[in-house]
Amino acid sequence: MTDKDRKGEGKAAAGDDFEPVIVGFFCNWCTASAADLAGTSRMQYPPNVRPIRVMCTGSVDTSFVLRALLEGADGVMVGGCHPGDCHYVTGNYRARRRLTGVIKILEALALDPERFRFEWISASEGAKFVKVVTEFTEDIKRMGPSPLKGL
Amino acid sequence: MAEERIIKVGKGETPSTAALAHLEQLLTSGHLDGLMIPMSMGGGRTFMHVLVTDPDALADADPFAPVMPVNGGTSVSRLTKLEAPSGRIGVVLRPCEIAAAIELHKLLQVRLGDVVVIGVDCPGTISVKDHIDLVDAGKDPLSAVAEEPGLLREACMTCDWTRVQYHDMLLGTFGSDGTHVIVVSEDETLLGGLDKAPKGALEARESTIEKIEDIRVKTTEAVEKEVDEHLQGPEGVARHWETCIVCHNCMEQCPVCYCNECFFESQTFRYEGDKMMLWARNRGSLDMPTDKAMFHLGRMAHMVATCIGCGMCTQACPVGINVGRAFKYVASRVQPVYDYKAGRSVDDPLPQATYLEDELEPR
Amino acid sequence: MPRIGVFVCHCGLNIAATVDIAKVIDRVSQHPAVAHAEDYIFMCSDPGQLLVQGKIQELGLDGLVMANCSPTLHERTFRNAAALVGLNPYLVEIANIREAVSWPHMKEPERATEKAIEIILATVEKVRQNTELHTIKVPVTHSVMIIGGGVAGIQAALDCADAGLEVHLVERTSSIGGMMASLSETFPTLDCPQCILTPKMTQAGKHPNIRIHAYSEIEEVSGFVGNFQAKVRHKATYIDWSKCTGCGVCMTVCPTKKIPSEYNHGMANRTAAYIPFPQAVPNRAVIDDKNCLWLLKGKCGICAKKCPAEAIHYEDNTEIEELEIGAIIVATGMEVLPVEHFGEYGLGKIPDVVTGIQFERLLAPSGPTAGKVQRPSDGTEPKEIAFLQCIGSRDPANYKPYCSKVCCMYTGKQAMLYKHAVHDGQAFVFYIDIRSDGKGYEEFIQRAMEEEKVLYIRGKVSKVFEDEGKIVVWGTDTLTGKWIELRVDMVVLATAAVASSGVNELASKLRITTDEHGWLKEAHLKLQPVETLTAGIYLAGAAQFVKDISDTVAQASGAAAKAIALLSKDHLERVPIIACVDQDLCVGCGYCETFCAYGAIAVDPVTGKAEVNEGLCEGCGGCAAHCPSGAATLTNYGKKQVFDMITTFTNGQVVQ
Repeated sequence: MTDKDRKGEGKAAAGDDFEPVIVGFFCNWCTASAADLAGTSRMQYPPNVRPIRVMCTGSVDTSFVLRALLEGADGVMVGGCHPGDCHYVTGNYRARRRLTGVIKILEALALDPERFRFEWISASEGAKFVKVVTEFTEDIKRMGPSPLKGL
Repeated sequence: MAEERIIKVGKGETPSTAALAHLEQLLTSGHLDGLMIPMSMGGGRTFMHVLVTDPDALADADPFAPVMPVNGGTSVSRLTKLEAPSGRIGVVLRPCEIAAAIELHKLLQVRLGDVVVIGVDCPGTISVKDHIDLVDAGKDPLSAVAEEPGLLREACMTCDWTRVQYHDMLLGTFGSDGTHVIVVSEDETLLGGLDKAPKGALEARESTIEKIEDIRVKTTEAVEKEVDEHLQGPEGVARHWETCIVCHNCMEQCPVCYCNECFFESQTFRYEGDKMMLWARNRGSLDMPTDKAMFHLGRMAHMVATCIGCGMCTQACPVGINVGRAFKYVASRVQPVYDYKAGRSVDDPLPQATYLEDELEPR
Repeated sequence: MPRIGVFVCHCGLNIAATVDIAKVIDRVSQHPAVAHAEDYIFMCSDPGQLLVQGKIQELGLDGLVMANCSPTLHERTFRNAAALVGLNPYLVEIANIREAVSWPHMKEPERATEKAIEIILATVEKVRQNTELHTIKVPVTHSVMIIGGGVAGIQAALDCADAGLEVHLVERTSSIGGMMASLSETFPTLDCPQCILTPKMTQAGKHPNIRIHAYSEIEEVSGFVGNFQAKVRHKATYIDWSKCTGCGVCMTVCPTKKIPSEYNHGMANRTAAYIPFPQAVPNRAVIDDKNCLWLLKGKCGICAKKCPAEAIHYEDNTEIEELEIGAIIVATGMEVLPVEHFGEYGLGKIPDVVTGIQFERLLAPSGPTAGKVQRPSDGTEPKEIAFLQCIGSRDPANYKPYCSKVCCMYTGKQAMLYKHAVHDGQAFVFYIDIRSDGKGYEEFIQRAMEEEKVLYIRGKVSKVFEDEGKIVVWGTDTLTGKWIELRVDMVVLATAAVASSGVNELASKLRITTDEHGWLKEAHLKLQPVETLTAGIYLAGAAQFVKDISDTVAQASGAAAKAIALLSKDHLERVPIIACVDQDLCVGCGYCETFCAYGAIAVDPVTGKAEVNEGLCEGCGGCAAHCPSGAATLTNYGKKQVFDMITTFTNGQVVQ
């Protein structure tokens, strides 16, 4: 962040035309399937989320989340299998521990922790996927463009 | 059962020389085969750990030297990681160095059981630069600190480790008025010839510890208040490291940053020119070297749960950023989430090495 | 510079109606790593695949991004097509622009087009960093473990055994047979289980390739497809089965006689030392340690004294046996909702209100009344019986939302059999809809109505209570709208079918999943109904959902065929997307080891570096995310690959 950015000149204002960029890390076995189900069922949701299919939320590195936020994502979402349902036995429990650490860091330094969202969405929960994505997109729209970009 | 003994500080002696005499005797008698101990460098301008086998080479050593250029946990790792040396090696460590060694032990970088940990009471250390300046100005660093406690490093003034949390032998100076050094150990061979600690010596040490803890807690609160005011939000965080030159020295000197090569120095963070141009175009400008925030926040995500708050990062920063202040502040908010306190005990599992089925439900 | 080919599918209008294909082609063509971009109406069709293959050869493409439907559908299609013309299949990646773009964003074509472009470009970034991979060959164990010894398990066992596989049939009760063994006769043919099931049971018991582990449960399962290790707990029988001849003397002499018989669903009692039913396979007695006087109080011991084979020893002979298994078939079946429910219909309070499965025992010639229909309360012959359907089924507010599927048919059968037994009796059936959609089923129901004069009443019952030796049933006939009161001698409730107890615990041990009602989850409801998401584990019978016997047997043979096909080779080919460790970077901290649920990665005590066991790694990538230095990685899911995908999404095209 340069002095110029800090004065707010480089910052886009939040407004009705603001379309946030959201990066989603979706588990292959649950949330990615739920997204497929939502699509197949022709449920409609805002196109802001850019999906990255991962084998397991357990493979979501803390640096993925930070990288996305620092590179300009206005929000980051991770979707995994419900507790007890991990295809790889315990990956979602481990992801929850690891990514909670990121949330706590963002919280401690007041770096907009609400821009990161972790959800359990099973393969059969297409409707929940749509609800979460829609809500999250709206939440981020309300918050405006991320000030973390280029920090 | 731990035995409590005492080393008397005689005329013309200091607690340092008296304790050293005992350690020298352990080497001479063969109860220890080696000793890793802070040793004077450059005529007392600073002290670094040295591995000593010859008792005669101990002359310039000082177990209580008030300076810590390198966290001793790192040196214990170097000493024991590949294969611990045979024989009994005593390592003189202050509590934050023991804390580092405990974390590194759990990370398979230290074999704690293969060394004899000699824990020392630590009233705090002065930064290497200040220590050198004091000596160069002809002053005794210890007396200087006694007159001006603000000379201590911030990490020391806010230290969580007033009480030595793990040791095979303790050298206690708290509450002794310089007249004796308390020695505690379960191992009789380390106590050879020492008198029983007189009544009240341990109680006096205990009450001093409580007083120091009290002061340190209050200082911590004051520092946290400053963080609350200044080191918050994207702007506060950016301002905190605006002078950072991305040299990664904080990581190099961090005892719990134990990787062979830091991820943030890997090829993943080397970019094609066009990629940097893309960022520059999208943001208006691109800070060079790149990835300052990624490095600090990413490193924090990797190790803040095992940060023991020794402040080596701050001391290592060539441009004077108080790196440790931010890390300690965040650590004290992250570790409790896992019911963890880095450096407390070898028995607490590392936060990321375990999990509970029912915990930490996401928002 | 890599030479990536991008192929964009219209999927008829499924994609093309929303996504501006021409714009997509134009934009992705500008990426310097994209050597060729082309669209086609149906890329998965033969001409579509030929087009792709032709371009690979003609242009020397070294990577493909297929922009079409979800990778679950055609990833394999295009990887195989590429492999046929010499392009390593792992250099082919799918960009999902149908389920993830055109379908959910039908009303926003412009933004959908932008999203499609970004997803394709991000996939280009990934695939350009992919490496060639080759399938990993692992040896297989030619044996099948079948869990559950009902008709599904028996059928699957016989099919697998006939194909030459070694079969371990694990049953938690002391005999195979399952729920079918308790039935009276079966719809729509009215065969009795003794006629059609016991031959299969005997065959299974005698088959040289089948080992029955009766009175046994699964303790633990580890390993992976083709190479599972199972620990089977042989529960304490207190009787040496190598000596027991099944003579039944222990049952005759046992003084503890008032234990509700599981086989008779509580309609009769059994002893503490018992063989569940005469046709049991294996025909061996067990002692129920929750009821045996000797085991509880150290008193009695008469069975040991009288046993002619000297087989009884009262010692806990629990044994854990370890088995090497290639494939697993789960056939744990179903139960009906326990009797504690349905107090509102008098169940558990009025003795002459019974469940359907209990009534089976009153109809069965092998049952406690030898097939004579008698009221449980006084042994008299009931002259009027009301059968109530959908008790707990199709009732989302109170019990289960689903249809229990078999009740319409067995209620018709029971009413019919009752009329056969009590010629002057009258049967009433309360129903919501009649579901008789199997071969010969509708004809069977018609026969019950027309020939047997069973009276069908469309409606729901509101109250059941006792009055002067009769049971009063209040309800409404929804066809006539009239309120009805019947005074009958017995009431039979067609209670909801549910998954067998303990199936959730078993599912966790097997790392398969259940749905919200406890039914085991198939890989795909329509296209992979016998597979689970865990390779090498298959489903048979009512464990997946309620099934009648014909469907159960069909699915059991289906599951057996899957297991036989899997184990027909000496080696299995595994997807080579697994973890690997950069030995120079690895510092040996062991974080990866603490993560891995399969024990597939561990720090070698000699080298002090982590190493991956190719056979055990399932490719979840957790170790890579846990490794702070980046020494551990998941092949073709590298951190730089993900970073570059993120860059595309947050900054647009990586290289302008």
